[in-house]
Amino acid sequence: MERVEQIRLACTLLDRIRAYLLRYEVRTWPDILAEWQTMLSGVRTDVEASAVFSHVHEGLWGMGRLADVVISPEAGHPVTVDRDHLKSVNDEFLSLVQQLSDAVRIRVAPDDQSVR
Amino acid sequence: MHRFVAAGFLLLATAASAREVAVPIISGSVPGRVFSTTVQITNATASEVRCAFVHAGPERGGHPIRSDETISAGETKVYEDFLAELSAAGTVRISCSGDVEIVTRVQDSVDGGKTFRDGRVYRPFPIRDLLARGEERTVRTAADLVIAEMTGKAVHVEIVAKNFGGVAFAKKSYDVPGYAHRIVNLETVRDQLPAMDVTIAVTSGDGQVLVGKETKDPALANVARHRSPSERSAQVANELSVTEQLLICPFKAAPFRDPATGLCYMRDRWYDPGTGTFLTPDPEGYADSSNLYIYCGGDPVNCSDPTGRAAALGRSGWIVATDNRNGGRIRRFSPQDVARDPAGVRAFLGRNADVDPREADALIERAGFAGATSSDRMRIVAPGAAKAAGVYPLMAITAGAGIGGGAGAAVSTELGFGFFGSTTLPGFMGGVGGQAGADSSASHFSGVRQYAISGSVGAVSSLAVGTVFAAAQRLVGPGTSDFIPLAPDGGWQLSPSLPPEIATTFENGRFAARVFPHDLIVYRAEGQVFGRWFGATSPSSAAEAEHLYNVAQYGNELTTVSAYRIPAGTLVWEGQVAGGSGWQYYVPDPQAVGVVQVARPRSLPQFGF
Repeated sequence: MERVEQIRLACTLLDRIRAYLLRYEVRTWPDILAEWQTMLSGVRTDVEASAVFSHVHEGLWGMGRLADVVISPEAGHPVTVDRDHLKSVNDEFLSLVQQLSDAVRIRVAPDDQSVR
Repeated sequence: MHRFVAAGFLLLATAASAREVAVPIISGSVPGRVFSTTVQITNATASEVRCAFVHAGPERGGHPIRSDETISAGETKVYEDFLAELSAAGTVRISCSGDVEIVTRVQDSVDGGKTFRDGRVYRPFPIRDLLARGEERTVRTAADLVIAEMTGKAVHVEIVAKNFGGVAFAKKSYDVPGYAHRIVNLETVRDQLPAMDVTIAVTSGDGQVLVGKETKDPALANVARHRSPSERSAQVANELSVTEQLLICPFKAAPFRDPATGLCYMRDRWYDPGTGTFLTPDPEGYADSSNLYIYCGGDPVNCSDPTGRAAALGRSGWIVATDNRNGGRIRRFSPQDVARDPAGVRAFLGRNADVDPREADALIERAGFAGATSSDRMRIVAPGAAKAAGVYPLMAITAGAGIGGGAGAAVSTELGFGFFGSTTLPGFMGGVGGQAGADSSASHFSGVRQYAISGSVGAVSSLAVGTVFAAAQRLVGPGTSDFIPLAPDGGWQLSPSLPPEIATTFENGRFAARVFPHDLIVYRAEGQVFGRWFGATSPSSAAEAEHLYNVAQYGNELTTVSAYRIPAGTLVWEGQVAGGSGWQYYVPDPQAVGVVQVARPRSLPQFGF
């Protein structure tokens, strides 16, 4: 995949995730995703692209990362307590995160230990 | 001395009062493993009891072989390597003229007979009926199982391991000839899920099988062991309880048990087997559990705690130590940590964990042995501490003898050879040295046996054996070819575990799946509420949270710390945080399993060391 296409895909996914989180009134993360989009928009070279992709990927998995967000009534999100509904809402969110992860992982060298 | 003699002798115990049980035996060697079975008979009555042993296995073309024994009043005899001469796997029927208690113990060695895994003891599940073709049972276990064919006819058995949600993740099958046994070694499976539901189904064959479960809990064994003479009589006399008699093996060095209260004295604390808890708080505080009274973190099957204090060896090759200079916090060192800085780890163990330098060296030497085998657990690395998943039954011998009734004796110097390798046993006191029971196996063994005997309750309350074989090949008598090979280890078909993205959140991608039998209190330093990753310890500051959990401050503002409860029975993945020093738990769908916040969040200072 060409760098430009890859960036476009990542930005599209960031858009979708951002909208999704705003819909459920998740704090902080929409701003961070917007910041990532800005960084991606400024990429001019493959090296820069790798650096930004790494940065984004690093923020996806683990405690305190994007995938750690759980949309839930306990967190004050406007969502019903219905278990099935909660599951589908969170599954959809994680699916988007997974797509973003796949999109930005392509540029990450497999032996890059800085990525987690 | 017991001797097996040819068939044709008159049956000794044919009186109406005779009691008879069938005892499964496995003894001898198969490639890579050596098995030995001991049988212990206790005569708690006031009169002599005569017992006849009749081996009815197929090895001698169906001709029974028998031996007659006399057990004096109040005597306990141990028949070790019971059928070595027969080199057999089969069933021995024991008929006695009076009430006795019979316990058997199967132990196996994976190093050619040099080191026998202690604590390989099996208790039957409370299944009165044997399993026949077309029948199946599901048992919940965190331990290995034994399947014993009891009727002399072959069967084919399918084993399926499932998580508590009913999802199958490992399967295996066994052909079990008549009177033979198969040890269902779940060690490989436990790397994925330490506790599981196992379905045993007899799919073909005309035989019937009994299912037994390994137990490692000395207190449990003690409970099984201590019955009043009247209860014992009733049980032995009751035909229906025969299966319950089978495989009950309290050969564990449990410490002193108060005869009046039934409580177990665990050196540092008293343990109530009735409730499965200690009566006094954990002297280590909350270092390793939120429950100060819980025994072994509620996981007695995979853990023993002879002293009631903390331990120092991790099952997955990690060093786990109590930082006595820092409020008793648990510190874990990954094999990588040890490889990077062995001197630093050694210094920490000596300075902060009060570990003897030789023990520290033993720990460091062993670090990195992922998925420690049971034989590894034989190695004692920290006197007075055996709480991690490494189980050291021999530790219990130490005080078991001393406390139990003054039967302590000097340790045999022979313990050192080929048994613990370079690991020494500082502080180890042997139990009653010498040979208890029959000596017929003297030609097979080096003669080193240690028994811990608690005499204060008037009977042998515990018995742990560290048997050292000088010449393992001598275990294998004539007729070796008759041995039925056991299914090879590692034959489990396992399902995949975590997705790679999740796996990378654990240090070096190393993690273990676990189902805790008790609620788990965990922590999160967070700006948002709730999540999928949880920490084992509560950070005192944002800086410490970052240090422990590598909580990069993307969306996480690290303003509060909250405690959550993961309900018992939840499947979680645990391991060291990638890039952090803390221990984390991953729960994919915390809402579905009922993870809840259990305390109001408290604010988290930026720096609070």
